[in-house]
Amino acid sequence: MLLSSIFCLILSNALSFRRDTAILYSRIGIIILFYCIYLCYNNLFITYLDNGIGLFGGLFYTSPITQTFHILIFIITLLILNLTGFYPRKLISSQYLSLSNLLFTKLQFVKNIAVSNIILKKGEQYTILEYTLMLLFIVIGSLLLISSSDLVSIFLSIELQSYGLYLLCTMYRNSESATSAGLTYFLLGGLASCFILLGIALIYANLGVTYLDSFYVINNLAGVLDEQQITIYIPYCLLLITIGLLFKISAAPFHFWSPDVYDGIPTIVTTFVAIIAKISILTLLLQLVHYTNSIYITSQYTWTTSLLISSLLSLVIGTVLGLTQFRIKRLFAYSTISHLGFMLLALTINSVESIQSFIFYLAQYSLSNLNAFILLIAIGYSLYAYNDKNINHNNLIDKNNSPIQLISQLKGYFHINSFLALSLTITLFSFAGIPPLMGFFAKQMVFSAALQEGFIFLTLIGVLTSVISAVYYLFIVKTMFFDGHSYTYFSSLKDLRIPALVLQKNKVVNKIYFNSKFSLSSSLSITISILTLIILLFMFMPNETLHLSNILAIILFIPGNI
Amino acid sequence: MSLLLLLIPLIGISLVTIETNYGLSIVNNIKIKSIALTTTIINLIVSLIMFILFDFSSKQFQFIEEHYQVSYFDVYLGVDGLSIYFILLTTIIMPVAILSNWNSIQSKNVLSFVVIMLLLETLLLAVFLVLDVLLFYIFFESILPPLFLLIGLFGSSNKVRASFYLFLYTLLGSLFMLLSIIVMSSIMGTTDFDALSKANFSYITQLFLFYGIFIAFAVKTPVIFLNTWLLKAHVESPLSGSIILAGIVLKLSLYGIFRLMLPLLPKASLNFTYIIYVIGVITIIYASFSTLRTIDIKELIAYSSVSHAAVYLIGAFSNTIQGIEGAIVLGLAHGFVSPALFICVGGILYDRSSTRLITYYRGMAQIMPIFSILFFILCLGNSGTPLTFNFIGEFMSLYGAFERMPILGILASTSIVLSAAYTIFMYNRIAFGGSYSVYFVENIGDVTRREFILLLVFVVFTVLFGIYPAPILDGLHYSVSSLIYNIN
Repeated sequence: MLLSSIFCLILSNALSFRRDTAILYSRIGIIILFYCIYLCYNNLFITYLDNGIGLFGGLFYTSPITQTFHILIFIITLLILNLTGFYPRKLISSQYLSLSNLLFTKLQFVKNIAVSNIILKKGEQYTILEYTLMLLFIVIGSLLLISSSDLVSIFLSIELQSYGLYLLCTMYRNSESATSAGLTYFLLGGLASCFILLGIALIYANLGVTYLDSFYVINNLAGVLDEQQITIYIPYCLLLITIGLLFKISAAPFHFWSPDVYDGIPTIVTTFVAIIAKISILTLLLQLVHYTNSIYITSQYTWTTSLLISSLLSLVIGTVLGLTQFRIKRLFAYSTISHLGFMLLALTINSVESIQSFIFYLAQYSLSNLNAFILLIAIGYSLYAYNDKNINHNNLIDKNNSPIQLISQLKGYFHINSFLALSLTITLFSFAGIPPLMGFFAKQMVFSAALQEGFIFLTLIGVLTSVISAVYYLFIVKTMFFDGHSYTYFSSLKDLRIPALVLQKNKVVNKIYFNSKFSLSSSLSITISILTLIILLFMFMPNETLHLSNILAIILFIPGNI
Repeated sequence: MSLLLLLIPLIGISLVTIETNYGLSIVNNIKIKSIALTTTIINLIVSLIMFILFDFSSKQFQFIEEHYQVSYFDVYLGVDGLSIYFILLTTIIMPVAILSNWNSIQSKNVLSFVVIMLLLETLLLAVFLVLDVLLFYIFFESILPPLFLLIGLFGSSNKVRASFYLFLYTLLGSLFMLLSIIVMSSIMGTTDFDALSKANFSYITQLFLFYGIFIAFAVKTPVIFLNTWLLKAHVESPLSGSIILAGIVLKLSLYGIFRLMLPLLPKASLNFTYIIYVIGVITIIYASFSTLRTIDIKELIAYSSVSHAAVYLIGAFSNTIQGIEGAIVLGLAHGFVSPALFICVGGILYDRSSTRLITYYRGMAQIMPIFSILFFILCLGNSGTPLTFNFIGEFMSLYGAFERMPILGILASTSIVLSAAYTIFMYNRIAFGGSYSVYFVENIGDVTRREFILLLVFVVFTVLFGIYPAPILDGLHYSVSSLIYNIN
């Protein structure tokens, strides 16, 4: 069933503890993830899955929603592992491109110091062996979190996920900023966990249950019986848990850690930290909000009103504070906060349409955010061959691990590699919600759901903030397109010819020379182009995604009737 | 055939990119540009064929193409008596726009210029072709990124500010329109124009929808105090950008009024006519006086666009056949004259002297006689002199306005005097006003053949339709009469 995939993960991790190169290790991770996707996809066809099936004595459960988000997480992790699983640059020789030559010949580079300084220059990500292992553990944590149906298992899996993330942040031991950011993350995350634990403890003390289903039943019964003594604590307990959860997804007003942490840790890790934790916790919140929406603090307000407040604050803070950022990862952190505002809004409305929009928003935002970070990494790789004349850019801390840190480093990038610049532009416009792109449809669905349920004020705030946030997205676009760049191609690379030996059955057949035209390796370029095309051409094939989210939302509302 | 119109520029884009990336010969900028030009001309021919085949005795949508399989939001294209003229306007202006920047784009940027232009053509045509409100909004908005890049990449000194203004102003306005469209679709459950026009929204709903949509179109038209983006964008953008902005993008709001406001929200439009008229009259007078004082020639013409736009805005809301037809005619006429004036000052004069300030020009009639004649005809057009196309449009718009609200109509009619004043004043300062300016050290040549053709296209259209407007007015009668709302 569901957990067989997880066991498979753990087992394969335990077995493959060979000290091989990290690249091989990531590739094993990719294969594992492919297998997991296959398993998850098969699980979707289980009968009675619509009602949700309890596992392990009710500690966990599985339903179409959990399965779908599992697949989403697998896909995203797969793409992230893809970044470390392959070398970032390649050289192409048209001479040996035919299939038989590709299969039966081998290439060996002749050692050359000038070349290896630049071509083989790589961040620390290729030397850390535990990277894949940590990633897979975090993925296990988030999978369990998505499908947990017991307060205890919620806490345990949150901790599993969070500890993995803390460790992942501090994994680059040589980098000062990464370790300090990891420590910040750990301390504040620990605080958040305390809140969650407190909430859980209070619920247990008052109701005597930890099992979520019975918890929901008690809630609804209490609403009918009008026994105020039982339910009076519940909203506050839920509020405490929610504070903890909002802390972990860095929604305002609990967002202070996220820009620092994002900025401090290496870009590859940021990609993972920014996306995975949000998917799992937001999916958990979806279940929680949906079933406990009817608990009232007073006669008018449900406890989810606090989520609305958080949504409003996220929208405002994410956009306004983002305006002053000049470090690109901090800016992405703030943009994430403002997008969280939209997601929380959709989450709190809790109608069929809003849940649909929530699911769609979460999926599309994860994918486009992933694309943005991959693009940042790719841009960093492509700039290795260039010499930056701007002195400010050469003295950045931790430049090896996250080469692009300032927005001004992207100056005039359009004139260096127009396709990467265009892809980033498309992604950013999608963030801003410009029509034919995917982000627009998500925003439009959220607005539509909000207007239908009468949240006019928040809709107007959403409109205003999306215009304001367009300013900083446009600023990046402007930097890339309209400014001149300060990069010069390394002079030693200009007329460099890189010798390589062609081997056939271990015999040297030929010696060929590559000219110094580096290009991004196919793993990066294919990933980027697929994601960008999905964002760009979403308008022409929205059926599958929209129907999927629609069906999931309907299933949540009418279980058993589909 | 409507789909063909949209696909031809896209095919052009792919041809151009393939040519540069995989072309066997050395990348040739002339070749890239001529591919783009050919593409737009083919598109012009297709649209002319469409115009010939168009059945003007019907007010149904024609050349309808529906593609339900393609998209969740049905790709549903069609043309009626209103949109056919805007489509023709677009296809006429696009080749001119590409031709106008033929020499002034730096060689390494030619590819991106051409791609942006062709993309803009597709998106603009799509706005006029789609018969679905949501798709209308999508394409209405999606012209922003290409325009942003066009102005930012090829604009003059203050381009960044201009492109930001353009993008943000329009985005803010349009998002309110999005809210209105969402409300419409959630009430009716459909976003189809035909189905929506059968609906009768309650009065209060109409009011809110009206506000939302009007904010978007007020920014796009633009009315006074919301026109900052227009001036900046016009002044800083490259010549082709100005041409497209003045010729087509400003007409999007006019077209939107006929598509979204008049048929869908008749009661609200009728009851709020006076607000629009007051705004329009203020715009006309204020913009005209500002135009008199402006010394940047490009900004001057941009400002005159603002006051003309207010005239056709007033005409469009007059609820008379003459007024609405006049609005469309003035829109088309302005779409011919204003780009031509931009070519005159932003292209011909600026290329030769590299200044836009009117104070540096004097006595151009002595050294550029052909230019001065063409420029003079266009200036007459801009001020709405009889026998030009603008005159017909302006007269009919003001006639409609006067019939609807006499006092405000009279005030609006000051535009006749004021537009003549600022246009002739400008012409006088440039063409005459003493001898050849001492600021120019070298001699300035008269128009080249390329520039002459560009201007001639517009001059011929303006004068020809000014003398014989029947081809356009006849086609409009049927479609316009369905927009009239009878209070009884």
